[in-house]
Amino acid sequence: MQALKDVSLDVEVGEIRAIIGPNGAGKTTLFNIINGFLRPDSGTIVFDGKSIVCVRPSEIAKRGLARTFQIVKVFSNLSVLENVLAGLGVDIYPSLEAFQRSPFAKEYVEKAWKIIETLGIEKYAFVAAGTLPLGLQKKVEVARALAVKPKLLLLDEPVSGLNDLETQEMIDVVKKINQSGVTVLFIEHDMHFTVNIAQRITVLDYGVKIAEGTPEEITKDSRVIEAYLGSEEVA
Amino acid sequence: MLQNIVNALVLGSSYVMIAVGLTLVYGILKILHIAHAGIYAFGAIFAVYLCEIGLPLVFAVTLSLILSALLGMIIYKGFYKHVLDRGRIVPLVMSVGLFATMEDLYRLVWGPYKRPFDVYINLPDVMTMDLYLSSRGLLMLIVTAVVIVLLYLLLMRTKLGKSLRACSNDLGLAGAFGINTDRSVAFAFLIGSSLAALGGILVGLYDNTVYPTMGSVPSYKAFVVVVLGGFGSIRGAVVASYILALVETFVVYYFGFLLPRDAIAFLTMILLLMFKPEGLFGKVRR
Amino acid sequence: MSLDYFLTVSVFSMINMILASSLNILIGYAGQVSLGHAAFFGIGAYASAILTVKLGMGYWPALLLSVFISGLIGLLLGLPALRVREDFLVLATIGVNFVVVSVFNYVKFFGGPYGILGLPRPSLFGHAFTTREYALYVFLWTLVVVFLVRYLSNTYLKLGFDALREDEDAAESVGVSSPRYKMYAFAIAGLLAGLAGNLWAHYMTVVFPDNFSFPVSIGILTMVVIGGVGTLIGAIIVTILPEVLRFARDYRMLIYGLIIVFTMFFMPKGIVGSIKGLIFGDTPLGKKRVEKVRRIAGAQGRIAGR
Repeated sequence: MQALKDVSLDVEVGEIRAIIGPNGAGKTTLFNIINGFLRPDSGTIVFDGKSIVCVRPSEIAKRGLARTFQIVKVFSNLSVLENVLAGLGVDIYPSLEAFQRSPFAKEYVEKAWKIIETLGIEKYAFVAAGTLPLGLQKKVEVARALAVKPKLLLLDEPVSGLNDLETQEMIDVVKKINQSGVTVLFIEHDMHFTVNIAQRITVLDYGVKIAEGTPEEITKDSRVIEAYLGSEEVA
Repeated sequence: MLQNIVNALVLGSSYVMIAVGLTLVYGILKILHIAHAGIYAFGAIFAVYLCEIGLPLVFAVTLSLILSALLGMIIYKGFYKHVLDRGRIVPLVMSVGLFATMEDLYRLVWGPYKRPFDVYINLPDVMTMDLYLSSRGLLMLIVTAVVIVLLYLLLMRTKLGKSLRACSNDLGLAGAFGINTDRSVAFAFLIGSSLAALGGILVGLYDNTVYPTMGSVPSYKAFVVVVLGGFGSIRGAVVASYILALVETFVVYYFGFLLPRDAIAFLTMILLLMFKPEGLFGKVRR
Repeated sequence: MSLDYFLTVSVFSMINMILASSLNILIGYAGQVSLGHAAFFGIGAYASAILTVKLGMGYWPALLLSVFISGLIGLLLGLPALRVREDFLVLATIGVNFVVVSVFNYVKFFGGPYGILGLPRPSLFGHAFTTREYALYVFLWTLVVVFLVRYLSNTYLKLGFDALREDEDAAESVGVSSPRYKMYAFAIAGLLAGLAGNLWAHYMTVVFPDNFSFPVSIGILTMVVIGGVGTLIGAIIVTILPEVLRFARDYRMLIYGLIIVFTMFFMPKGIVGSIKGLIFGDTPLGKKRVEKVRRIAGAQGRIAGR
């Protein structure tokens, strides 16, 4: 059984792109492949002009691709600040500088703090990330991903499990991030969030791409509606 | 040659007894139940003790099995159950701690010395031109065969067996379907522990030696079996037990000068873990 | 209590501190649960024994070489860690411990069960160390290790380890290469444990296979389990206790086992949390760091009061 079949995707620099589709459509698998956690059986992935198939996830991160996870993966026992500082180390880890530089040096703390403020979570900077409620943990994950200085940000279900207020906050955050020059590619089920933010949407079903276009086009596409038939997720 | 095969069969049977319990527990709880080794030793030691104070073998064995089963239960309900939610490292380290405690308790209470298992087994020795099998070895083979058959029946034909298999497959899902997972796990410990104890008794008889740390090496080897057999597949564990025993026996026979037998088993496990972590029969779990 | 007895206990405690710190790096920092640490301890000890006794090398070159060898072997033994899931790593490490001890026991070159005798004490300017001088020597090394560990825990290396421990996938996604960092952890831990092995071997002047068996690994684990930043305290407790309470010496494994079981029970975050938890309480960061961060962030007018 194939998780993905002949899926082809072209993400433009600077756009906000959504990938939607019923459960099991292979969306997270796609992310895992882009990210380097899985190897595709065939096909290529080109990022920033270079192929990233068979490249380690950590190396891909260094090249400017950051990601959040469907099930939140913050560093639970570390403070929020340390989570972000960890992201800032992306260039440092592979080199011998890791043995020399301190995460708590002024330059890193300043950068981390700026990012934390962007997400509005300064209050929790010293709190262990694992003790925070889901909405805040998701923000921490985004902050950490930003610390990697990504050119492309992959968000896997950024608002799942969040209430309306938190979802709106995330919309603002993603818009801000995109305005600062980061390309965003996200997976979501929440159509309100998706339609409000995405410039283009790609739809997957059973591992196959069935539609692609602007939000207006997609919400009217009969194939898409059929794929979601019976699901309460459609706006 | 035939003798080697017979020896391997006996060895394999001892592995089966320990490995099944480990596989059951690991299959459901995903804990490497290192304390299992302690129950193996307990079974043998307690049985020997009862025989020494005059109980007939059958009573001693039965009593020992019952107590060992209870011991396993206690370990689950009193210890593991409370730390299951804390990641996989904590129950594991706790298991190590329990094992160390048990072994030392046996040493302190029962004495560190090796004692013989001086009981008469009412079975013949098998002696032909090509091979020799002692009465105790024969006992081991017969009992193991019976156990395997009973296990098969239990797992395939009874409701309990089905619950156990369901839990082993996916604990959360099994619970969602209304299976009393706690009870299934408890049973897994009961069965597994009594089998371990039985294994200890049989090996104690066969080697005619019982001592507090007798659980260590066989149990580590049982882990090799669990790995080889696929981490949760009973069928795999049984087959793997004999395969490992065969490999060990023959490698030692031909290459015994290189390394002691036990080290070979361990090297195998390390290599297996590195290169074929799903064993022979299991599925890779992420 | 004679001075010599006091010195012996101190030397053992300090060597244990080095051992506990090395295992702490592996388990506490990097989250690689290794239960065969006595193997590295033994490799350092035996390497030095072979070099000095069988190959006639002087102590100082042997020290350098044996520590290097145990670091290298630590690295090699880290290879299984790359391919083995966390809980099975434990099995693999137990296996490694066992194989290593078997080799010491079985292979004639290592002296078999009778071990290797006649290790020399280190000597400077022709004068071989007395017991007191040796104790001072060990003390100096202990200081070096303690400072080294303190230094490292303030670097990005440590943060990389933390990330690896907390969530390997997330760590990768922020640039921590898990194979690389696992190797780092094993190499460093192996190196330090090898140093401990060297110090121990030349203090005892004999090495036996049994000194490095699985129960010894459990003892080292117990020190780490008790400890955390208090790993140093844990190490002291573990060696001092059986000496002070004479009767307890016979119950060593029992006590270790019980300590491990109870610590697992009552530490809400398990072994990982103990590294920071017991001593620090609420925030993962120490008070000093929090203040420093406030200063930096506040200096730019970024924190409103608080």
